[in-house]
Amino acid sequence: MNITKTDTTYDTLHKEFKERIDKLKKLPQMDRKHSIEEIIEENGFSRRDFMKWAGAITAMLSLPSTFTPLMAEAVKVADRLPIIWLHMAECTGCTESLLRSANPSIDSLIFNHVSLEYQETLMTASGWQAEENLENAIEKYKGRYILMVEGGIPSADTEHYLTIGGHGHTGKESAHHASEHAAAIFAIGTCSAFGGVQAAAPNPSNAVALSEITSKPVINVPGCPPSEKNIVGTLMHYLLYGTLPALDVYNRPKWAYRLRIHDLCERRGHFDAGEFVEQFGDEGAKDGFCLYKVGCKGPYTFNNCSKQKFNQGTSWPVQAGFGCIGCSEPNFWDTMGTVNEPLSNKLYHTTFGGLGADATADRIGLSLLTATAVGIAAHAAISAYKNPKE
Amino acid sequence: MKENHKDASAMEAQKQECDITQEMEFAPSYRWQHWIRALSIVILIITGFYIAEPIITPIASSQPDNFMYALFRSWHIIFGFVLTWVVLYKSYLFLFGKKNKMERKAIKDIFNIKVWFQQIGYYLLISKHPKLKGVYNPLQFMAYFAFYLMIFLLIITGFVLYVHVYHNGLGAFMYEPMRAVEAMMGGLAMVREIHHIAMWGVILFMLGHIYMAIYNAVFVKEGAMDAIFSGIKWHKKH
Amino acid sequence: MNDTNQTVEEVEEKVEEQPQPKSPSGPKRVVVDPITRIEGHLRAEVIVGDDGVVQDAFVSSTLWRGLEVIAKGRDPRNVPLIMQRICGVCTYSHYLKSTMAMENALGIKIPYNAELVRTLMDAALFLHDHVVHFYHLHGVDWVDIVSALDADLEKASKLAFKYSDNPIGTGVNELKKVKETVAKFATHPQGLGPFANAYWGHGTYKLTPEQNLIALSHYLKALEMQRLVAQMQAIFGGKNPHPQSLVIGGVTCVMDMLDPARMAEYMVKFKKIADFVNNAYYADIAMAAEMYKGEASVMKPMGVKNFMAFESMKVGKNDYLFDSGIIMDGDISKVLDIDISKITEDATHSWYKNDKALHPYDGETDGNYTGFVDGKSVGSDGKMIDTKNIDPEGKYSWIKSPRYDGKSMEVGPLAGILVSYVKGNKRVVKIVNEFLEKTGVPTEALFSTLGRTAARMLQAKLIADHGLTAFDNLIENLKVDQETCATYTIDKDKEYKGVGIGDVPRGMLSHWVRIKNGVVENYQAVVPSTWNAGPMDATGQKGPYEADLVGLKIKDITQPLEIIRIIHSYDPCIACAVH
Ligand code: HEM
Ligand code: HEM
Ligand code: NFV
Ligand code: SF4
Ligand code: SF4
Ligand code: F3S
Ligand SMILES: [Mg+2]
Repeated sequence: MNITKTDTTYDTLHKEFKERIDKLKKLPQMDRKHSIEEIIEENGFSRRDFMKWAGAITAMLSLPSTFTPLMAEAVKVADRLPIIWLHMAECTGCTESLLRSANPSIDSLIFNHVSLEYQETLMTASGWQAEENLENAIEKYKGRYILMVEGGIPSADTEHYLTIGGHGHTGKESAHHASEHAAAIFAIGTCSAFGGVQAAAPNPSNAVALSEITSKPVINVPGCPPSEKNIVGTLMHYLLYGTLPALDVYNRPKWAYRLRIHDLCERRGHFDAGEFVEQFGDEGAKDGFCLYKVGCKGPYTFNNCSKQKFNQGTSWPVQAGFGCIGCSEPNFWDTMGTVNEPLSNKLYHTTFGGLGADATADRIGLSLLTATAVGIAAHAAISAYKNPKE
Repeated sequence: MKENHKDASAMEAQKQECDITQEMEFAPSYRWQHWIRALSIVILIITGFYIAEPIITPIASSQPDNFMYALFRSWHIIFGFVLTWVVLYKSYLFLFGKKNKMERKAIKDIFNIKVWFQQIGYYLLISKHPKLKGVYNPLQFMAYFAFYLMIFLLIITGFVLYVHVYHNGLGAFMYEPMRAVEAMMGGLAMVREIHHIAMWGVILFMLGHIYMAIYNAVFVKEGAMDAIFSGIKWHKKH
Repeated sequence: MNDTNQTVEEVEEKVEEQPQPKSPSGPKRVVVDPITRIEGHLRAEVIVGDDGVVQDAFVSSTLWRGLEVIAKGRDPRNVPLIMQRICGVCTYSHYLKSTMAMENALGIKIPYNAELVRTLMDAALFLHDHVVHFYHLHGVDWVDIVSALDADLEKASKLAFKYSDNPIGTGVNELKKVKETVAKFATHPQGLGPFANAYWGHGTYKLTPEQNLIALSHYLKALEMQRLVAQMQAIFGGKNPHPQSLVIGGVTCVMDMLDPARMAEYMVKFKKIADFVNNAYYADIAMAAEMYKGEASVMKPMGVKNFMAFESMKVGKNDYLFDSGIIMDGDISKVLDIDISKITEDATHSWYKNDKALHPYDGETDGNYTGFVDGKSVGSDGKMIDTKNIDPEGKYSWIKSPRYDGKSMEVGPLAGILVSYVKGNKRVVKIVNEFLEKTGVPTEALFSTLGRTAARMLQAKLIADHGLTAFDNLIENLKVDQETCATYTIDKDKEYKGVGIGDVPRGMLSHWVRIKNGVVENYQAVVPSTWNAGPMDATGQKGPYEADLVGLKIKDITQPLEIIRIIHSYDPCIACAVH
């Protein structure tokens, strides 16, 4: 874990970023004459606002403040990044999350000015015109565009459960095709990163993660949905490094998914004290006690919600008194048990064909223990009556 | 058997002509590790249950000086390390320890079907106890073997959980490999679940094990029960 | 599709099918897939005669995820969160209705405080959803962005006062900035990004350059507003999309409710969005009504004239903003009561095993995909090309066909406004009459694409004007009662069934659950977009989308603007429709 980096590491990093940005600057401008910064200023944001925002992003990426000017530089060249966003089997919550990008409305300017070549929720063209836009962008920006994919991908003999376009291509075909020529691939949301809700048992559409259908490296930005900051921040990270960011075991950027929800939770003091909400709405709930006993899965979930929150810092699931459901973890719908119960009360009802509706590990354990004890008592009794042979 | 217990020769010299022979069954190291391990496991189970579902509510305090859960977790981790240490120690002894030859010899009986049938028959009270090459009968050996698998599973999953509780020192050192294990097991929630289920395996073992210990003490009357305390087992002369 | 593998007969057949170039060629098929600026994966296919009139139309959803199947066997407490993932746009609707279904099944009465907070979150959802739909999804069907470049700034700024006394974002300086932003896009072909390759200059765009500019300014302003409204929901919901503060029995956000600063934050933001609804959204719809009331493609009589809406938005004890009821055959002399036992779903033309019309308590959802057939349709350049086509004889969509007493029904803001209006709901009557008076359109004009788009705005206005009633009542009640969550038990030996029903942004939504052995035994969601976008049923009766397209006159068959305008007026949500 590289929680702390030495100054020399930062120096090298700083140098690398600078080289990278200089290189980017030299690239011919693809789309328009004006830089992002100019556009921003023309839209009523001062250079100060802009630098403030760059500072915030820098801090978010856990980089020292010396990186702020570089970040600002990076943003200025960001308009050279064409983006293709594909929708697979999904709910569009991730797109909605991207729309929330703000603080001030500068993020939405970024979003408007990264050259969003294809995004079905927002683009004007439909039908053949839409398909043309996609093909043109892939052709024109070969090897240079960023592919962002939202949604799980139906596969195997149910691949056709998703088709797109007049030729009835499957989602898998089109995601694979767009992956082939992308400069970098981001799987946005738990659906795309890990299969998501449709991949929950019994996974009727055999939905899989994006990484299962392409051999190219995929950066996972899970969350259901991921916060707007994690989406935009990942883009910024790519701009700085020009390579993939440091990733954890599940290919999630470490800057966002390195720590558990639990590690920076505002209710952690109550957790360590053993002060828990026993029932929603009780006195503990009014006092902000820890939500572990009403099912918070923060101890098993890697994400930065406790730090970044949602909707411009308005709130997050623990603040709202519900707790975390583990939405940025693989297969969380199946592995995290009942949402309002601690993990140890996970039900194994499916294991016994519906018989064990209330079968938790502890109940099964106790039943086995009782059965063993009964067996032992019987054995002891019989042995006492009829001694073992010597 | 003497050659296997050379260090017990002093005791054997004291052997009387009476029809009971004493024998040094368990060396002190064996006994110590057994009881340290037993104690750790009991503490780990108690603290583990609390960690899983903290049923004890602390006395209300308006000061932030209450660390009930943190304390339970600390003791759990302390004894987790104790357990890890003794289990590694015992595993080394079992594999390489000079005095543990008799334990290793028990492996041979596992491949002898006849011994299996006889042993099962013995427990079903229909046949005599088989003659054994080592100190454990095959059923016993398999039970211990399963127990060790469970303990190792608890240790490895315990350490995966540990690196997320303590991020520095050993935690930092083990971080990357443990995260690989975590991914292999399907995420932290799965690790915790496996840890919990393995605990139940240990509890079940304990019940059977203690019963067998008492059973042997009552019916076999060879003092195995005493032996785990004193190290000395006695045999009737045949 | 592989030519080398074709038999001689097949090739000959194909040649015969080939339309004769230049000469009148008979009806042509037009495929529009993907339909964008909606939620989800939707295809429309229309058969267009030489006169440009749509003779027949079919609508298909091309994705199934199977969430109803996934719900089975799960703990009832987990299911509302799974159902929430049906849709991230109307993100709160399914969460709420699924939770209500569980509460209904288990016989739980939730505390009054919880009801009111749920309404506050719901109000945020409606305001968010309607604003985003009109400006960011539907907007460019009405507004020609490129034409805005020719606008005279002074004139536009003055014009804005015609539609509002306090116009928003229409000062000369503001409009200048907007115009420049767009000019930059327009002068760089690739720079148009998401607006590229669209239908600018199409003959059915009716706004003047000045009007286009005003609406465009609101498009940008609305991007900001939607963030603000999402924050409103997050105050009590923890986040948006996918808030997380409802549990069976009530809500979990007790700390936020008891925090005066949080409450004030909600109120202040509410007033901002209410102002936007009244002075931008309302104004723009009034403007569009004035300009489009002569455009045949949006005033064309609608195909299905049955409307259904269900009570919701509880703002006080026994006080709902929306009423329940049914209007049949466009007969606005009376509103019929709803009998929920008459609701069924048919799957004759849907990709599921069981065709029969079943009541949702006994509904089945087992996939049976039969795909498309090889055929031809009009390509982007007007020539016929090989495509995958719908087979109207067989199954052709993942959407089921919900029916009430065997009839197709339209649900949504138009249905809601009509039902409440005819029932004499005072708040609604006032708002509707004012609007009709202001725009000078007759009541019958509501039964159209334009009417549907206007009704959505009127619903937003209804909430903007009266939503804070729930807020005031909550404050009053909190003074004497701080309960937020009821307790309950699920008896494993009992069987339960229940429904959560009410209007959500796109219309009447119902979730139906059976619980047995303490887990979900069967689960069915009958969703607004399912009602509206469903395929034909066993009797050949079409759903509202399909029926509405029939008879539509299209200017240019390579530019599907009229088609998508009609479809967009329903605010399609196809992840919702199929789930
Ligand atoms: C009343 C308490 C206990 C008694 C009387 C007892 C007795 C014994 C005896 C006599 C042995 C020697 C092996 C034999 O010949 O059977 C033994 C071994 C063993 N005991 Fe126990 N035991 C007790 C508690 C425990 C507990 C709580 C555990 C752990 C859960 C445990 C784990 C083991 C294991 C794993 C062995 C195998 C030898 C080794 O690997 O060290 N015992 N015990
Ligand atoms: C016989 C051995 C052990 C037993 C019975 C045991 C039992 C448990 C149980 C029941 C839990 C709660 C899991 C749940 O939530 O369901 C737990 C958690 C934990 N155990 Fe163990 N455990 C054992 C050994 C270990 C070892 C060797 C370690 C390594 C240091 C360890 C470290 C932990 C940690 C770190 C946690 C999680 C604490 C937290 O997240 O706050 N355990 N253990
Ligand atoms: N149709 C639909 Fe929904 C809504 N409103 C939900 O029930 O959009 Ni996503
Ligand atoms: S990850 Fe969640 S929010 Fe995103 S598309 Fe999937 S279900 Fe919707
Ligand atoms: S609320 Fe959840 S994340 Fe926060 S301390 Fe408690 S268990 Fe951990
Ligand atoms: S549920 Fe998801 S949003 Fe954050 S707090 Fe948990 S990871
Ligand atoms: Mg359904």
